[in-house]
Amino acid sequence: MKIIDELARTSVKKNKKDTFATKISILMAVVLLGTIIFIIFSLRTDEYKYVKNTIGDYHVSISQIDENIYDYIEDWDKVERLEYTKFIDTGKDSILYLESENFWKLDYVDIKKGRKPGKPDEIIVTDKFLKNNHKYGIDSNISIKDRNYKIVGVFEDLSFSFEDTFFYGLLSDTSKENLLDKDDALLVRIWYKSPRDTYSNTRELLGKFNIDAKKAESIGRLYYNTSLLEYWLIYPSGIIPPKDVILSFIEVSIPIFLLMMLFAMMIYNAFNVWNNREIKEIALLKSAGMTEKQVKKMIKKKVMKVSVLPILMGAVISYGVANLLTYLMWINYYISYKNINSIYEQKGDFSGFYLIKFSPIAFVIIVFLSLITVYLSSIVPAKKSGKISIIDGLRGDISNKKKFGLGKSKISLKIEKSLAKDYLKSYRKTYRAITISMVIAALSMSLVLTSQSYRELEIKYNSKKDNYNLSSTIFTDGSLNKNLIEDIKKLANVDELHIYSYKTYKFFLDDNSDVISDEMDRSIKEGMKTSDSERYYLTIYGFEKEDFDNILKENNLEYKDNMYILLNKTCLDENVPYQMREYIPLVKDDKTQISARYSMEDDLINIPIADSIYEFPYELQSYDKREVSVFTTMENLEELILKTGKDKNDPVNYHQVKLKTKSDLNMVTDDYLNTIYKYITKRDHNTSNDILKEAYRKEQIRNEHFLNLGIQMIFLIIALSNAYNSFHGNLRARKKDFQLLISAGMTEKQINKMISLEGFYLLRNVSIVYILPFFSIVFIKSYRNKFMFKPLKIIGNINFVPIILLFAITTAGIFFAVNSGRKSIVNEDIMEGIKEI
Amino acid sequence: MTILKTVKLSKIYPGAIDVVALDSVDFTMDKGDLTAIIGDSGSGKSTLLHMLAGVDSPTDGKIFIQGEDITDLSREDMTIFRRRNIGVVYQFFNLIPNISVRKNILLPLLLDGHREEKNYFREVIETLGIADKLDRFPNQLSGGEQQRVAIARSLVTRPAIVLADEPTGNLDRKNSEEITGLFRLVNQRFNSTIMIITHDEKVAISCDNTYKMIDGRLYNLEGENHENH
Repeated sequence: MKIIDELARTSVKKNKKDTFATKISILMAVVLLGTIIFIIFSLRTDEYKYVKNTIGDYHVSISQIDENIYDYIEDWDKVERLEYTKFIDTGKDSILYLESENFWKLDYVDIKKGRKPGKPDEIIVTDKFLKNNHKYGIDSNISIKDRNYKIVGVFEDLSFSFEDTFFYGLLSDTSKENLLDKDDALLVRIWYKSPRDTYSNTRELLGKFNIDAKKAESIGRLYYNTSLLEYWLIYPSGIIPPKDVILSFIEVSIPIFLLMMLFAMMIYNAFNVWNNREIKEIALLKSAGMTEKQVKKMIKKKVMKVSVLPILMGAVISYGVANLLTYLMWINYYISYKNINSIYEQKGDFSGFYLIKFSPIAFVIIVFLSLITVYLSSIVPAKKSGKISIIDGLRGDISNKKKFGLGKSKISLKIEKSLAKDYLKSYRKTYRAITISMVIAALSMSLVLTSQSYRELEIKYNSKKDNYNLSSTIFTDGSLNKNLIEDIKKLANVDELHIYSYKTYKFFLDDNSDVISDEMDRSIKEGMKTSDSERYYLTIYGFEKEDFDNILKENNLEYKDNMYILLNKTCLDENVPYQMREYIPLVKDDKTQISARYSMEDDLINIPIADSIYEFPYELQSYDKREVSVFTTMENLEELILKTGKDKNDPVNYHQVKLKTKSDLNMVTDDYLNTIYKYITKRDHNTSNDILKEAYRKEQIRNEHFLNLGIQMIFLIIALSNAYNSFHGNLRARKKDFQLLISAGMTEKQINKMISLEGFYLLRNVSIVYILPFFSIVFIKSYRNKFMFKPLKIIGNINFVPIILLFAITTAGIFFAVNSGRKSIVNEDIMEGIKEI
Repeated sequence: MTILKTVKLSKIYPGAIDVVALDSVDFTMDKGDLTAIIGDSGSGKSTLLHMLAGVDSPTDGKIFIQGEDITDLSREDMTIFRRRNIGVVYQFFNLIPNISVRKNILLPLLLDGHREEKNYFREVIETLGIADKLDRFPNQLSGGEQQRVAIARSLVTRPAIVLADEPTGNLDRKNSEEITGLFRLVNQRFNSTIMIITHDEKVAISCDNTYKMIDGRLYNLEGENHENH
C-alpha cells in the first residue's frame, strides 16, 4: 500500500536525529561484521585458489598404479577424467616426472630461468642439479634411459642439497604400454563425475584391489585433495564434517554470531526507543483506522528504509577496512622482512601487497546477513507497536503494563534513588536490551583479551628462555664435516660454543615397560602424562668428545667405551606450565637398558645406559615433556646410525650449533654464516639469533596490536554509540514521564540525579551480567587447555585496560546521553506534557 | 485571609496576529473558598490555571500566593514553591504510571524530603475512598479512582490552594458527580482553598463562587463584575 510506504518514509525523514544515530549504529555494526567476513572469505578463497592453481582441482591421487587398477579405472563409469604422472628413475640420483599437458597449465613448478617444457623431449631441471653438474645448462642435452632430452628451464628446488633431485617433462604418450612400462612408476589423478562421492568411490576402488586405505594414506600412496574437497563441503563421512572442521567452523562462527547478536541488539534498541517516541503518532494512526498488521508493516518498512543505505555503505567500508588491516600487517611483515634481510645481507623475493579481491559473494553474504539481522530485530518493536492501545498511545504511556511482577514500590526519602529504581523496573525490557548489547560488546572484547592473556602466560611460564645468542641447525645426510667443526671453533668473539648431533627415535612405552619408573607409571595411570605411546620419543645427542668429557666430569662419571648417559628425569604432569613443573625419575635404575625404534614396523634398537644424569648438559635444551634424552659422543651416535640404518621417514641427520657471545651478535652471525657456507649450501641450515627472534617477536606483537587495536577501536565506537543512542533515546522517549514529574514538583537537580542514578544502575547491571559469562569464557579457555593455567591465573594476567576503557567509554556515552537528554527534558515546555490530546 | 491574588494578569501569545489569552485579570481568593471558573474553549481559563500553577509565565501582571509573588521565581524555585504550596489536579489525572498509588500521592512530599503526617494522610485517603488502592499502579485503577488519587496528591502537602483543571472532563456522569462531591467534602473537611476550571455547569453550581471567562476577561456570575477595568 502506497500510504504505508509514504508514512514510513515521512517518519524516517521527520526524525532526522534518530535516523542519523540509528544509521551510524547500523553502519558500525556492518563494518565490523563485514571486515571479519571479508577477511575470512579472502583467506578461504585464497587457499582454494592457491590449491587449484598449484596442485590442481583433482579429487584424489593414487600412486603405484598397476595394470589391473589401470584397466579398471580407465573403464570405470564413475570417473569423469584421469591424468597420469609417470616417474622415471634417471640413474643420475634423480627422478624424471612426466606430467600431463594440464599439469603445465598450473603454477606448481616455479620456473626461475627458461621456460616450461612444451614438447615431449624437453625437460626442466633444478638449480641444485645444475650447480652439482656444471656441464649442463639451459639448452644442453641430457640422456635419460636411452632418450635425449633438452633442458629448457630451471626451477627452484627447496629440498636439501643432499636429497635426490628431480626433473619435469611433458607426458605426451599416454598409451597403456608407455604408462605401464615395468621400470617406471605411475600415479593417477582422478576427477569423479560426482565429487561428493570422492571418499566412497575411492574406498570402493581400493577395496576392490585389497589396498588398505588408511595405510595407503599414511604412506602417501593415497592423497585426497582435502583443501578443495572441504571447500566444497565434502567430507569422509559425507556431509558431516569431521571434528576438527566442526571445531574450526565453531571458532569462526562464534565471533560472527556474537557480532550479529550485538548488531541485532543495537538495532532492536534503536528501533524500540524510536517507536516509543513515536507512540502518539502510532496511536493516532491506529485511531484513524490503521490495523495492527499495517502498523507492523509500516515499522518494518521504516526499519528497512533506515537500514539499506548504512548496510550497503558498511559493506563497502568494511572491504576498505579489511584491506587496511591487511595492509598494516603487510607493512609490519615488510619491516620484519627488511630487518631480517639486513641481518643476513640477503636479497630475496618479497611479494608486494595486493588488495583482498572484492568478492561479490562475500558482499552479498554481508548484505544478506545484515538485512536478515535488521529484519529480525525489527519484529519485536513492530509487534509491540502494533499492539499499542490507542488510549495509552495517545497519553504517551510507554511504561510496562505488567506491574504485578514489579514488586512493591519502595517509599524512601531518597526519592531520586527510589524513582530511578522504579523506572529501571518499569523500563526493564528496554534496559535489558541495552544491558545485553553492552555485555555482548564487553564479552567480545574479553574473548580477545583472554586469548591474549593466555598467550602471554604461555610465553612467560610455558617456555624456557634460550641462554644462547645464536642457534643453528645443520642438515646432512651423513656426519658433520670435521673441518666445519674446527672452523666454527675458530670463530672470534665467541664466549661459549657447543656443537652436537642428534637423532630421534620412537620411544614406545610397551617396549620399555620393565624399566619405566613407578612414579612415571603412576603419572600415566593418573592421566598426568599421556598414555599414547606414539607420542613419546627418544633423542640421542652426540656431543664432541671434549663436551662429553665435561658432562662426565661434572656428574662424577667415568668414561667408558660406547657410553650412553640418560637424563633420568621427566615431568610429573604435562599439563603444568614448564616453569612450574615437578620432575620424577624416568626409569627405575640409573644403569639400565632402554629400547627405541624408528617406527612401529622397524626393529628394536637397544640402548645400554651406562649411567644417568639429572640436568640437561649446558642448559642447551628445554626439558620436553615427552622426550627421553640420551647423551653420547658424536662418534658413538654416528656408529649407531650406521649400525641401525637410516630412518626411512626422516633420513636427515641433524646437527646443532649453539653459541654465546657478548660481542656484536650481527658480526658473529655473519662470521658464522660465512664459515658454514664454505661447507654447506644455504638450504642445508636453519640459523636464528636473538636479533632475529626479537624481530619476529616484535612483528608478532605489532600484528597483535594492529588487530587488537582495530577490533578494540571498533568495539569502543560501538560501545559509545550504543550507550549514547540507547540511553538518550530512552530518555527522550520518556519525555512525558519527566514532564509529569516536573509538574509534580521535581526539580531539575532532582531529575539529573535520578537519571544519573539510572545510568549508574544500568552500568552496575551490565557489570553484574558481564561477570558470569566472563568467568565462563576464562574457565572454558582454561578447560580447553587442560587447566595448564588456572582461571584465576588467566584473569590475573588479563590486560583489563581495554575492558575498563570500554566501560569508561560506555559510562561516557551514558553521561553524554544524560547531559543531552537532561537539556532537552528541562528545556521542554512542561505544558506539553500536562496537556492531553 | 487572601490566599490568591492576581494583579493585571495578562498573557499574549505573539504571532502574525497577537492572541490575547488573558487580559488584565485581577482576581482574589480567600482561605476556604471553593471557586469555579467556567468558559468556552479558548476563552483563557486553562491559561489562567497554568499561570497560577506556575507552569506558564504571564506576559504582564503579578500573581501572589499567600503573599508571595510567584511571577519572579526562577524555574527551580517555582518548582519547589509549587510542590509546597499548590496542588494541581488535571483532566487526565497525570499520575506517574510506573510508581505505586501511595508513591504518587506522596511524591510532592518525598521530592521535598519530607514524610507524610500519618493521620492527615489517612484522613485524606479515607475521605477520598482510596485507602485500599495504595499499592496498586495507576493503570490498574478506573478513571474516577485515578482522579481521586490525583486529588489526594494535590492535598498531601496541605497546599495553600488546589487548582483543578477540568477534573471531571474525562469522567462519566456518575464519577463526575462523585468527584464534584469530593471537592466539596475536601473543601469543608480540610478548609482547602480550591479553584476548579470547568465547562460543566453542574460542577460550577456546586461551588461557592462562579466566574466566567470570556475572551481573556473574568466575570463574576453572581452579578458582580470582578474585572477591575
